[in-house]
Amino acid sequence: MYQSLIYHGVTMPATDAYLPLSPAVFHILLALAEADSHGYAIMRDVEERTGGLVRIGPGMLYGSIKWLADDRLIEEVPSKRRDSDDRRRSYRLTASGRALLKAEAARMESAVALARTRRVLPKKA
Amino acid sequence: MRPPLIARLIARAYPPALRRSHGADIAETLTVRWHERRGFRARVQFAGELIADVVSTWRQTRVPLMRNVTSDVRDAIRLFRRGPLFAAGAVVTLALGVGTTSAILSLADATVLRPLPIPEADRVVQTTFSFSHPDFRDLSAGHRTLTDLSAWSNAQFALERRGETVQVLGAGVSGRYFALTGQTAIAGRLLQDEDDTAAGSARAVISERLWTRVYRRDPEMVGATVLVNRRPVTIVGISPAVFRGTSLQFAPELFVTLAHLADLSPGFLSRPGTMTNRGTVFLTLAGRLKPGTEADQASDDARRIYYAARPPDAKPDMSAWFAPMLPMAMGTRTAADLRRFVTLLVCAGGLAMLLTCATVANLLLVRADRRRHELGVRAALGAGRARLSRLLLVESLGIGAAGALAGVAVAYGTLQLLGAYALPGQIAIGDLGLTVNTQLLLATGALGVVTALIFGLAPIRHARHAEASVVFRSGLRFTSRGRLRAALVGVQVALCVVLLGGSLAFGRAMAHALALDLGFNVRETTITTINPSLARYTPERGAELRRNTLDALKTRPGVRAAGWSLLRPLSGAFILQAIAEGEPAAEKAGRDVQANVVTDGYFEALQIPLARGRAFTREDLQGSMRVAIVSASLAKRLWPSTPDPVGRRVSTEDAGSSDMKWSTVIGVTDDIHRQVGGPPVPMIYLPDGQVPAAFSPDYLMVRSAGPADPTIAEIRATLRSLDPNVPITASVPMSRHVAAPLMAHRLGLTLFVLFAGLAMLLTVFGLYAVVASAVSQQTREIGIRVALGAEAGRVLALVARQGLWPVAIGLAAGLAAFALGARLIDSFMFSLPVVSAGALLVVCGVVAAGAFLAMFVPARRALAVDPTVALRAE
Repeated sequence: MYQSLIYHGVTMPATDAYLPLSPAVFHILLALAEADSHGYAIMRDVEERTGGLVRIGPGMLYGSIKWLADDRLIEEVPSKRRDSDDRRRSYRLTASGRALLKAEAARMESAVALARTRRVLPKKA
Repeated sequence: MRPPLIARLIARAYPPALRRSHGADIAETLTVRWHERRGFRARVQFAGELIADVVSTWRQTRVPLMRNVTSDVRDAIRLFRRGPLFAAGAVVTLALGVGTTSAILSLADATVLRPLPIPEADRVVQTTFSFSHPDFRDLSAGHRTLTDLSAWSNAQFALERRGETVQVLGAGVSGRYFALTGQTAIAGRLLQDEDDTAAGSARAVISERLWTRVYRRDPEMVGATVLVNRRPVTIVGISPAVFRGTSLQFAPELFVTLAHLADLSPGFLSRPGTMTNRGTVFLTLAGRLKPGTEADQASDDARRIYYAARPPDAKPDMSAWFAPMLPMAMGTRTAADLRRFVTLLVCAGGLAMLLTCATVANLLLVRADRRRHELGVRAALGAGRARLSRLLLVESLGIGAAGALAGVAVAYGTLQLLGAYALPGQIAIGDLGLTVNTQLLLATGALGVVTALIFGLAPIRHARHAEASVVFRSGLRFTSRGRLRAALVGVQVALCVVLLGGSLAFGRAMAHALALDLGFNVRETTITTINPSLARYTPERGAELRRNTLDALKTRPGVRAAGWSLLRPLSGAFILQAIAEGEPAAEKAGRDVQANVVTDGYFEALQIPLARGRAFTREDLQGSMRVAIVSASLAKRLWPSTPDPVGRRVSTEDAGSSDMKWSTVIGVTDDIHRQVGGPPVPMIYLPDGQVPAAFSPDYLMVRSAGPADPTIAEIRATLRSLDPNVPITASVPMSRHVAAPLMAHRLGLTLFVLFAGLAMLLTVFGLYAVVASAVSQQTREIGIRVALGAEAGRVLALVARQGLWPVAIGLAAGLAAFALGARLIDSFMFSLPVVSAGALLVVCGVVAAGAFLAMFVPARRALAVDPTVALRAE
């Protein structure tokens, strides 16, 4: 199901090597799936969307951003306003990051589906 | 807005890599969040959250690492598949180095470092000469500085098993022997004090080796009664195979109670009074020094007891009576040679390991250069330095581990090979029961792995000062790495020189020794050893057997001549003092003369020419005129002014003895050598009919009409036809017997030639790689030079410069190292010089030829550089 990503002719690690994602990474990718965003905004977005259930500390936030960027799953958006003093760095999903997010969502979906067949969760209406 | 102190402090605890890349972001977020939280409790909670965050961040940095390792392993395997030659080369080189080195170190460990598997062996002292049984009894009763004082005497036993006689090396041992040597039985029990009394029956312990070889590990053997020298002996237990007695040269497999040794033994020890006579010295004594005492005190203590039983006017011998057992276990005469030889082997092994490391390092560096592009692509795609390091780490670890693992097999194989050789002192390596020492194997394996790691990670190390991706991407030339590789080639060349020099030295020594004329026929003679006393022959029956054998052999068509001898050429010693009648001035000259007892036919069999007079005949018996034959050099010593000593008289009794038995010299023989490479030895020969039975000759020398080997069966058949029960101990061609002392040389030669060949091969490849990569890096420069009209000679000089420097420096360093190490080989050279002009020329010639070979291909490539193509390539 999860094929290796072919990126400019060089083989990258297969997506499933990353799965399952940690909640922090999943929510960061999810936040970036909607729009490009900077670190603090991502943090606020996650908190708001989960009603404060998921809180990401600054270390976890930037640590995850760093390795996601290192592995080319997200990338920094070049700053448009060169003159502004806003030093915040914005990020966006790459194709492989999006694929990874999809893969994780699909994995969760299949897990949920399994839970339904075993009647752990009620059948979908 | 500045973050508060506590937040700043906590922020410092984040992983440094993260702080470098996102420190500002973290600080900002911290500040904003801090000010969002109002009130003391909220801020304490926030601090708590931060600490938890620090912990999770650290943990998270490790999670992707572990995830990526699997993919690194996959990548590494893929790379090995893509470059199998490189991987195989590195692994094989490592395996050879690790394997041979650990095998040689194991040999050194089992012979020189820890020759005996005895607990606290360094506290055990042994007597430097033999003692009588009554003296041993007195010493064990009265000695105050030693515990477990034990005595033993080595012996040969004939063990009867299903009607067949098995020859076994054994020993008569006292009751504390196994306590002293700290052994425990693997079945039954070992001998104790209670066993060692003449009142009980003879008991014995057999070695696990004998138990396996002869009795097929039959558990019923414990408690069984066997026939030893035709006397019943009860086996009480089995000693472990690793226990090989107290000497490397002689490993007893049957230990009988000392109290019964005289009763069991034929010959010398069977005479009455062996166990009660203070003049019959046949026991070696050893004991463990009590804490705080030294060997000197043990000697003094022994002297006190010994002289208490002697007349008061006896002059005490003040030499050291007790000496540490370990050096003596290596053989008193050969310990120094053995140590030097093993040191030499260890040096050769060390050089081989060094060579291995240098080669693997070079291979990895060459590979690193080749992979610059690939790593650059990886870096460009966002793989960080840590990721690249990890990839290289996994690869290097893989190579190192595979090499070390394969090295285990090589180590066992090497030990098998070594088993066919012998060490100085004719210690057969195969008999030592060697196994690979696990600790040493681990240590050498670790060395290989570490080398692979250090040089496998070199690309990262060199990239330290620049961002990895930049370095890889731009394809920068690492001139420092080129220099490192040239230095490694220099090391290889130096090792080559040393190993080649060693091979040449051993080769010359061997050739010299084999070409020596020892003074007797080596090619067509055989030696057969019998032991009639084991079959309880009387002296008369023994003499009869000897006569009948010679008569029977005379009728065999394949036999030219045959004779019996007390000593074999080149081994054993029988030293007498020869006194010439009426030549008091020559008394000193006749001291320490080698003697031999021989029958008629001996000189003919060995083709030792008689310069004057006649050989012995059957008529030279007890009662007839006492006769002797002397060698030319002894004749010259004893009668310096007489050209023909035939008819003069000589005695082998102590000077001034009241009963001087004079023997008339009936012949003078040419000199023979008693040692390969040694000078000819003055010899006196006595006829077997005129010496005491204890000196009866047991070695049968036969000269055949053709090659020696086929005659052996004929000789055995002849002996069997005369007496089917006569124990034939050995039957070997003289050529093999003569070559036995050269076994160590053969081993040295084999190892050095192997290592030198390997070194040469690896060095040629290493040099080739260095020069070839220099040429390919300088394609542009060469192209420009060619375009500007440089001559072929100049281009060649440019190429040669790359390779000649390391070769020249390596050659000089190697020659210096060899000259320094020559001392180690010196004692194996039969007084030939180790370092000679010829040898140096050969070494330099071989290295130069190798260097030429290595540089030939890259040089041709440089000459073929097309300037237009070269310039376009950049």
